[in-house]
Amino acid sequence: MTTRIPFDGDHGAPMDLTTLHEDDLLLDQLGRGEEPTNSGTVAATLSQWRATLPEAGPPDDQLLAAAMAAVRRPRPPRRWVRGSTIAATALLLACGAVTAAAEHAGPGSPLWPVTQLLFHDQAEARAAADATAHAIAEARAAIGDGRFGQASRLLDDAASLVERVDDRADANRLSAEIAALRARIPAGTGETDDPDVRPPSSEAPEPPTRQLPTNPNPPPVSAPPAEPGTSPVPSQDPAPPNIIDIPSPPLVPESPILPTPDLTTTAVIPPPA
Amino acid sequence: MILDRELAGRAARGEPTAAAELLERFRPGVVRYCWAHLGSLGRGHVSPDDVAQDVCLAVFEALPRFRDRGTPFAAFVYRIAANKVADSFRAARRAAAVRPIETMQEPADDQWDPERCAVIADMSRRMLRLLDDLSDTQREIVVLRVAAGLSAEEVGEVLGKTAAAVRMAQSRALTRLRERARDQESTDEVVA
Repeated sequence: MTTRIPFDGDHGAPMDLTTLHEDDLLLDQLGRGEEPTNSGTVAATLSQWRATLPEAGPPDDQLLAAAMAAVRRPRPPRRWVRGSTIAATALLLACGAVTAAAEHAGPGSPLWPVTQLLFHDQAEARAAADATAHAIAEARAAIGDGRFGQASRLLDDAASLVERVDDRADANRLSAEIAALRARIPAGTGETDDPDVRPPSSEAPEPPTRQLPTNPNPPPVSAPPAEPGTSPVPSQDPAPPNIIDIPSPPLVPESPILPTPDLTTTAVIPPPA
Repeated sequence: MILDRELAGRAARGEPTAAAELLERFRPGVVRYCWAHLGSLGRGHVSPDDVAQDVCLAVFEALPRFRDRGTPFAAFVYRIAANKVADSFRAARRAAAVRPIETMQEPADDQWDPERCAVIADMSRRMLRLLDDLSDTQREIVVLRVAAGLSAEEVGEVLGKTAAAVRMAQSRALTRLRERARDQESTDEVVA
């Protein structure tokens, strides 16, 4: 049988199946250490070479003991296990560092959300301390400006906030500041709601004046001009929608300037007789 | 007959009888493989027997991984052997480069007398000259088939090829060796 098979990618001419089979048998025989049935220089040389290679005897006890010890030897961790362990350790350390830093973070820190999440009670206490300090600072500014009422209210707020401060030293310090500021507020002014109240003087306090926007041309009172023979009846509805609002001249002219008639009105003024 | 894989599993669990049988099965091929590759170097540089023993111990040390991976046992053993042989070649070259010849000392070996070692070394050199025309893959196939005694299928598993590709490559290798032998005979006739 000399069927030729195509080239399979190795370099050289196509081989026939008979040669392939015979060569395979030859190498099988050589591998088993048998004398090759195929004669030829190459077969003889390979057989001679195979025969000169030493044959190992049965394994001795020493080699067997060493082999068993090798099986039982603990293996170093595989590369990916080592890598995972290193990555996990690094992550753990990073998380630990962030957590440790977050424990001491304040409300202005980028780690503040972590602090709120992991150290909720501490975060609340720290926020209360900050708010207390802020209220005290505002109260101090208000006292400096003489706004004692406002300062008193701010100190009240600070006093309620300071109760939520956990740190004893901080709480004592803030309470001392509150007490010191209260002492600077003159007696009798602390309860005043007026923020602009001045230090007590012999003058009576002026009533509060509210600054409202002034209108130079106040809208006329929507009372229709009294018709002769009729008495004006106060209407419950000051401006019915279908009544034309005609500006009425003032009863006593305060100025020579007549009120400017509204050009949008449709009142017909009879010509002077 | 118990399969190599089953024996390997039992040996990996620490059964001495399985380990002994497994060692008896694969060690002769490993010894011949190491001698085929390293015998030509001479015994002053590297001992093929020591390399073979290193291979055997490395195989046992790696047995748990063999169970995990599911590689054919022959492929598992001879991949380790190929790495050890390559390491030994490199070590021998480094040693030859730095050590003067007169200070070389041949290691004592009770099993092999110097005359026999010289015969093996001479035969190995002749074979290497013969195999020198082959590609690296063809040469490794011939060594695995003749010296280690592996089948074409097992050689394919070691080299990551199909058995058909191995048979094709081994036939090409033998064809090339026959051509070279013919050329050599013609040259000898002309000289004579």
